[in-house]
Amino acid sequence: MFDRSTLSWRNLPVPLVGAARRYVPLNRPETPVAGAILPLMPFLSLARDLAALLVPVRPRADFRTGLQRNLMAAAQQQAARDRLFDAIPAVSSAQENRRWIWGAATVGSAVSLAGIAAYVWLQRHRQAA
Amino acid sequence: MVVSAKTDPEAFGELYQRNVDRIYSYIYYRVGNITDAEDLTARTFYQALGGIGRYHDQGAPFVAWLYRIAHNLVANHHRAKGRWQLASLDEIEPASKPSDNPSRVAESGERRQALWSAIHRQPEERQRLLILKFADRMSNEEIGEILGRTESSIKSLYFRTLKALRADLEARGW
Repeated sequence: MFDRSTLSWRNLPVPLVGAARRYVPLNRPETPVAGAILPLMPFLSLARDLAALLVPVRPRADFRTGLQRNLMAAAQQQAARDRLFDAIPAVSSAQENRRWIWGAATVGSAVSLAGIAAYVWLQRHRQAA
Repeated sequence: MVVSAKTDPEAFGELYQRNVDRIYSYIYYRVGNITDAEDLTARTFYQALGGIGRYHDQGAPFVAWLYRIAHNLVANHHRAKGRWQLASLDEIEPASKPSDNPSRVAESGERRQALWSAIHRQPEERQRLLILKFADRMSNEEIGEILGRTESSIKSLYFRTLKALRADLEARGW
């Protein structure tokens, strides 16, 4: 993944290296401005150490393939579930409200009729008495 | 690809293949052991699968969304454990070869341990920057998209991080 042999201060991903190289001709280290790069050397060395420490790691092959298998199974289940929900016609909230109103009206009417019937029965019962 | 992954399991599998290594590497260096790294990597992709229907492209690459999920899971993981646990360097593959001089290997091991500890003493954002730059080999622009910063701000954060690391190590006689 990463070739450590290519890691030198010349190609490190350190922005300050780029800045320094713009001003210091690499083929003329005796140039007075070459001194400008000296304070940067510890940082370059530190960056090299970091690159050596934080090497890319890869997951175990069996973990990688096992997780992929399980994810694909879960993705297929999810896709099937989504297709099923898409197939069921959605009930709009207006339709749902209308159902509740009809249900409440029916129950209310039944209670009223029962009340009238009870009143009539009670009156007849009193007259008979 | 991301749009088709919302309905096509094969497309989601392709996204997984492209991103699993870098997400695993990031999580591994944040938690420091293989068991937790595997667990959190799996949870990252299950969460991505569950939420991909709600994912909206807002200009940042898809992988930035995956990193955000991974970052939140890692943060919850550390909260659940109650404290930051410094990973053992033994679990990290040494850079030295078996044929190297033993005394040099030991010295190199001490330097690596010191550097590892110094990294973990840095604020969280700086640790994330170093992992993304070195372990995941990302450019400053890509890191900026993940951390929600501009490329130039990442450059200056990187330089500040190097300075802080160096000061920390020098204070401990490195």
